[in-house]
Amino acid sequence: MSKHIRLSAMLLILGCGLISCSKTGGKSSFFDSGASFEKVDIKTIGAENYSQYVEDSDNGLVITKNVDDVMIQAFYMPISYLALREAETNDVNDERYKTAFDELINSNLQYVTLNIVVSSKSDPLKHKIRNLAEIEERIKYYSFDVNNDIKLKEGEVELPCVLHHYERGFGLTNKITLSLAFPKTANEEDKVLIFDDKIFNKGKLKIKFKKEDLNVLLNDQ
Amino acid sequence: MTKGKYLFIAGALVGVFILSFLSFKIYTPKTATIDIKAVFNEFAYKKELEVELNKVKLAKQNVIDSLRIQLENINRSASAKQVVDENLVEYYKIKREEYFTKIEEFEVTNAELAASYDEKILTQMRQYIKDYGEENKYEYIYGDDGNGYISYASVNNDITKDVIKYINNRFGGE
Repeated sequence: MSKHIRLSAMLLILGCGLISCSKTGGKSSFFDSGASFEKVDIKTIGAENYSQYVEDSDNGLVITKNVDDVMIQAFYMPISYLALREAETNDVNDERYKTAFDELINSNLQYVTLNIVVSSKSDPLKHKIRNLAEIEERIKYYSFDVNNDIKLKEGEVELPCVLHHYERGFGLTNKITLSLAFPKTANEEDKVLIFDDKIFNKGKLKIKFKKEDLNVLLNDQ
Repeated sequence: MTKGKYLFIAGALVGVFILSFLSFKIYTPKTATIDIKAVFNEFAYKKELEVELNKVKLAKQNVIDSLRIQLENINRSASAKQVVDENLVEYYKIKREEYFTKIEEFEVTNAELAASYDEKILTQMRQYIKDYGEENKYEYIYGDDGNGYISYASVNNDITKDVIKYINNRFGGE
């Protein structure tokens, strides 16, 4: 009997230990499986695992920041991930993927998606407006001028936002989504997205993508 | 008394000690104080916007100075003439009006800009202090602004330096 109790206690301790280990690991599941990857390569781990890895906020490419009633989320999109989305495939041998990847690599740009959400979960275009004309002003600002208030800082170099696209929600979404592109450099520093929020008056909001999280992606930034 | 009784009393004392320690740990809220002025003054975003505000003020001051020099020149030209030049006097009046209007306008816009900057700084500062409190499991962080609302706080509970470091890291994108 006492032997059984001792065995059960040991199993319980082992179980607790395993749970705590799985919680402390910073990287996503296939990094915890015992195999150690120095680089995340889409060809080694497969497109689905790769997408899962990139989208997992534990891996440092999707970062959220709350300030007061506004939440911003920045997603540093690696070229392979973008190519998968553009080609609408999960097969890295698909010609559409290869074409999309080559085009993106040759563009010499790096891409970030920025989402802006307000805490009331209402349409940010209508959040705390004083009159209806403000909605049009916000649409115009996000469509044409917001790029002037966004930079990507690498070390001491501030890169301008050279392309941006505002995805119109037409009242059907509760977030503002901006697709941003910055010149690609050979710099291997941390990358800090600087967004000077002029609409909700939260000021300069910064989000840091750490170099160790970026460098883990194989030839893919 | 037997050995067993001694052991029982010792055990009970240890038990009481552990229980009181645990209840102290469980029921005492974790609190701390910060020097709110020091946190504000050392906040990197405050320093950054202060520089920006001074640049704007300086640019506006240059416009004012230039208008003042123009006024002085007109005044000098008018005084040098033997006969009163009505056109010059009229021109002087217009320029003087413009000078005072600009001063008034710049005072208002400077105050509005400073208020807008303060709002941005305080919004972020409040958020990061709140995040610090939550991350470090504080129930209360009291802001001592030197106005006597907090009459005494132990130095051991002063977390000003840690908070300054934390909010500057957060502002930097961490």
